[in-house]
Amino acid sequence: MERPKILRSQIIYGEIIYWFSLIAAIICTIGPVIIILFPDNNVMNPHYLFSAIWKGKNAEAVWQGVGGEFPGGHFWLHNLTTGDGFTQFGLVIGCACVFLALIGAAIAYIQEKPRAYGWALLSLWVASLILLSVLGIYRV
Amino acid sequence: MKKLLKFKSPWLELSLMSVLVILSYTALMLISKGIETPPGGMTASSISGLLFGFFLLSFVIAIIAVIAGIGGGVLFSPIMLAFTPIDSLIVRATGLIVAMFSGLISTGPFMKSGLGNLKLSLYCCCGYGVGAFIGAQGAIWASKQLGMTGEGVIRIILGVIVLLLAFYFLWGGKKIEWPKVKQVDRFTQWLRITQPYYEESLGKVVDYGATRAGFGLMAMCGVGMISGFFGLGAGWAIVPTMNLIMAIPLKVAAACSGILIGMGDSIAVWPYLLVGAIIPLFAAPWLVGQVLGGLIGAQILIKINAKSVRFILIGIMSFSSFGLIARGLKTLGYIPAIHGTVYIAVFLIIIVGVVLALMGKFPKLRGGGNTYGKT
Repeated sequence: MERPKILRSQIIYGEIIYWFSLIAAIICTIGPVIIILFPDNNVMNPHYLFSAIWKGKNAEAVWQGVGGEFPGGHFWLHNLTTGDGFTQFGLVIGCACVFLALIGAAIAYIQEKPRAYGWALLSLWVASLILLSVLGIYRV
Repeated sequence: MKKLLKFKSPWLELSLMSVLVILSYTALMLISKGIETPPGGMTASSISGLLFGFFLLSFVIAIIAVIAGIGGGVLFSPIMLAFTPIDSLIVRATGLIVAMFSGLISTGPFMKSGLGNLKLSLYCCCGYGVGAFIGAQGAIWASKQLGMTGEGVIRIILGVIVLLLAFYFLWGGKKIEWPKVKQVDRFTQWLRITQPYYEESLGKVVDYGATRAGFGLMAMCGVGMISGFFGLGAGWAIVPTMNLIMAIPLKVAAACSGILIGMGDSIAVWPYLLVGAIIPLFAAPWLVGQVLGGLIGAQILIKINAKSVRFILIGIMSFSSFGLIARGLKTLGYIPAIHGTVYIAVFLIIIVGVVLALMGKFPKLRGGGNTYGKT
């Protein structure tokens, strides 16, 4: 039986998210090995980190007690060679992939025939919400 | 030829990821033995054991979550809060990662198969996003005005609503699995939101309809408000909203719910990430488990019949309802804090019920299953 044709915008959206999520997962699989293998080459020493988490300390106390202070959500930018900086990079890729996918889908909607400007705008609107959230402006 | 097909997407990625995970955790266990523990710190072996345990739990949660179209946070948060001393903000933040990544990784297969519908997900995301923002602001207002009593009462009302919906799903049968659209309003028609897809369990193309898109948007806004107000995932409410109001088939609703959760949580996760509530080493195994489990869950959802999805969803809704009512009663001071073992016992009883239903032990509840298009 012939299967219905799937819209290009939908395929693009799905593929971008799929592959970026896989990349995020690969980084987050390797990251902990690097963290444990080189405990001193981390923003937070894993031995003290897990001990603090397991004692029920809150996030602020964990960062202050183990890492000195919280270096900001984008600390991976300056710590990509450290184990936890690399793992955070994986998390960031996964958390930001929907933004890229929505931009891709918006472009595809505009290229489709007939052109779907409304759906393109809707994609861009949701993408802008993610961007505002990444910048710390929009908080849910 | 069949052997070659097994190495096509997604089985190739799944195999490679599985090999990588096995190698990584084996390496972690081996490395841990030779690492000295600093005074006052946790041993590397204990950390590795915990990471592996987190991964396994996340893997199982992801399979169930994707099939039911819920965020895994519904299962993750009660388990972690009940059985570990970990801070609730860290649990809630990691819960968002759990909910988000099962949705994200299943998005690809759902989009490719046509079971997922991007237009429908985008449309619902607009209502959900606005509602979540209003709900979050409302939570701040309510905590000042109504205090804990108001929150307790709302939780109980919500729990009763979810339980009633679960009962409706229990007896709804075929009209829930494959709703019939008798009349399409002009707004829904203008949106052109539906698309046909090939239904694997039936072996034919399903060209479903949709209706009441305006009400659907308002309801989705309400779902977002609840989600933002209580700070909980709302997968258990998204599927019934799409199914009961917009008449979207149950499997399509479950797939779109996962896509919507991935989309919505991409907005909600960043504030947590930016304040350090998501700790990389703690969140990583949960993410990996969600990705691997989500991939498998998506393949199962594409192939299983709608009846199975309905029974799993009823189970999840019953468990959510129990959690909401119990926490509401505790907040109002009518009952003491419920021990984690009670939650697990209730969960296991529900699981047994779902498994028996899937095995056909309750013939009166069978519903339509593979009867789309027949009356």
